[in-house]
Amino acid sequence: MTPNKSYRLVFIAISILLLVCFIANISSGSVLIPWLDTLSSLVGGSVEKESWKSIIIEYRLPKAITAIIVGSGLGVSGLLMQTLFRNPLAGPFVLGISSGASLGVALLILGSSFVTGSTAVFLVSNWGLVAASSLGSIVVLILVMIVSSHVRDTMAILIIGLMFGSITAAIVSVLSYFAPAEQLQRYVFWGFGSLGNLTWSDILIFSAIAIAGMLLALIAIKSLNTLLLGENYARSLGLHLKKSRFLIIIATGLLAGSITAFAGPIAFIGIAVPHLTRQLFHTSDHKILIPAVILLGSIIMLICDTIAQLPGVEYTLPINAITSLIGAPVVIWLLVRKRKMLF
Amino acid sequence: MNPENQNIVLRTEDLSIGYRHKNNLKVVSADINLKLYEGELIGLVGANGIGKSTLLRTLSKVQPPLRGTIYFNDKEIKTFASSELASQLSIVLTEQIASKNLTVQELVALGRQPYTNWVGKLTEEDKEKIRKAIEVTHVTELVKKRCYELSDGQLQKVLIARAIAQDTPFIMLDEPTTHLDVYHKAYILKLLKRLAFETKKTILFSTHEIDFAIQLCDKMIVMNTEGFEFGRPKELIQCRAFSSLFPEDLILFDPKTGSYKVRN
Repeated sequence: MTPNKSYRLVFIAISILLLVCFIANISSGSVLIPWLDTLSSLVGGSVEKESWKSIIIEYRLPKAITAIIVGSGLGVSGLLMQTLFRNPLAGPFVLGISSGASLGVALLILGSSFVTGSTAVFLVSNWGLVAASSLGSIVVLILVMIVSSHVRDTMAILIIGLMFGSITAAIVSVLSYFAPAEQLQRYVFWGFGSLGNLTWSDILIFSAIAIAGMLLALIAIKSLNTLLLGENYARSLGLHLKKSRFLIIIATGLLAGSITAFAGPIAFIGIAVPHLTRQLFHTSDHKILIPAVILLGSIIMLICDTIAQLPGVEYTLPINAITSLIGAPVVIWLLVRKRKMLF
Repeated sequence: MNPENQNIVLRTEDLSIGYRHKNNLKVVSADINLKLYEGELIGLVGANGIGKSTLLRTLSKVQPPLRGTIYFNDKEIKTFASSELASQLSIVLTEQIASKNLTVQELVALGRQPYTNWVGKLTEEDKEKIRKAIEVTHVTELVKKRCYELSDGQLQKVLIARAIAQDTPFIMLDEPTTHLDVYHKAYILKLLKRLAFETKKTILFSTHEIDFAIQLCDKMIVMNTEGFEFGRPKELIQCRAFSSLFPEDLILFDPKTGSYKVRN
């Protein structure tokens, strides 16, 4: 679609930037580890203090990898939604997928006070959370797909997604009214989002699901480009609309659903990253945009996480707050500067 | 050249168009028999709401006919897969394109989608077709611009270039001259005339510019409440097809000038 135009230099530059952010993210935290030691422990070399090595391998490296999967996955799902719904403000949240996950978790945490015994023990474990939020996103995803097979108009699907969000919010507030304070706090903490709770085996599952979603997104590249013309033109170009829509929604569901399940609801990355990418790459071609969004999403998420770590301090700020604090002004800035957001 | 010696690109047999709501049939127009030849420019005229869009939608397989058959190059339209049809028929719609952020080059290149591989990689042949489509529609100076920077007339030319790049024997345009001033209306229709002649494509367009259409089209389809007339503009004037197009209380068709005059 974009003949004779090479973005190789920009790609090399942001790849290097990603590497720098990755190292910087791992080296900073409550204990600052020098860059050289960080590097050598990553490649298996000797480190000044043995504790640094275990901090990096056991804690910081999984967190950095999680940040990369979360940033790239949310960015890609945002890009897919913006193209599919022909709406620059679309993102995984708008579809209601994240709301579905929140509802699942809310039902689990806030409802678990009514259950006792061994079920309650499982329910409040981390795996219970992952299961509940995956289930929630999948349920909403299936509902969205059922609706989209009956409703031709994508705007209607968008509005239905928003309505799901409202219903979720309402149920959550009813539940939290009756739930004990302890459970409520747990839900609130989940809502903060967290990148640091994953073990290596969690990451294995997480990355497998995310890679499956990414591959589906890659398969959809041509359909996505055709959809830039609108659905009627796309159909006239021989695009199988239902199949493409299905493919794109599945890809988004896998990405956004697994991310919300493992890292909590993370706002604004999905909407802001594709727009920032379009500022850097002056193209609408998804062959360029998808890899670019993967790189930039990872970089932004690593930066957000580095900020949340507050170098040298014990505390960790909620990641969801950081992404909102960075993401929301970016969206406002784009709107003010360009007057209208284009996709 | 005698058109009867040329290839028939699109043919309809006793076509009825309209809508089907459960057991309720709403026939918009019936017994449509058309023969559209290679390299012809055909104008479709009729009052608002008479069913021009329904006819175009039926011919482009967006909605099924109520009765009758449509043939593309002697093959029934029903038997075409949507990807096959994309190499037979390209369209220019009145609706806005979804992403105005596309550059003209990208937009025209999307016309090659039916022929490209799974990521849409353009071959040398594709690039050549794109270059030619841009050249023949005179939009070369616009290729770097984004669609939101274009005027309505320029955008229309670019959308026509995209349809040319799709390289189909048949092009259908839904009211390509709306929103344009009188100069650009004439410009676009002249462009279509030239394209039909130079590229040997069959071009069918709906329009409200009846006087321009009479001057430029090889054939015209006139849809009115009684039915439907098809022929050369001169023949249609003779059989008073344009006079019965609208109620005669306000405007009258003047056969000498081929245009409508307001009644005094």
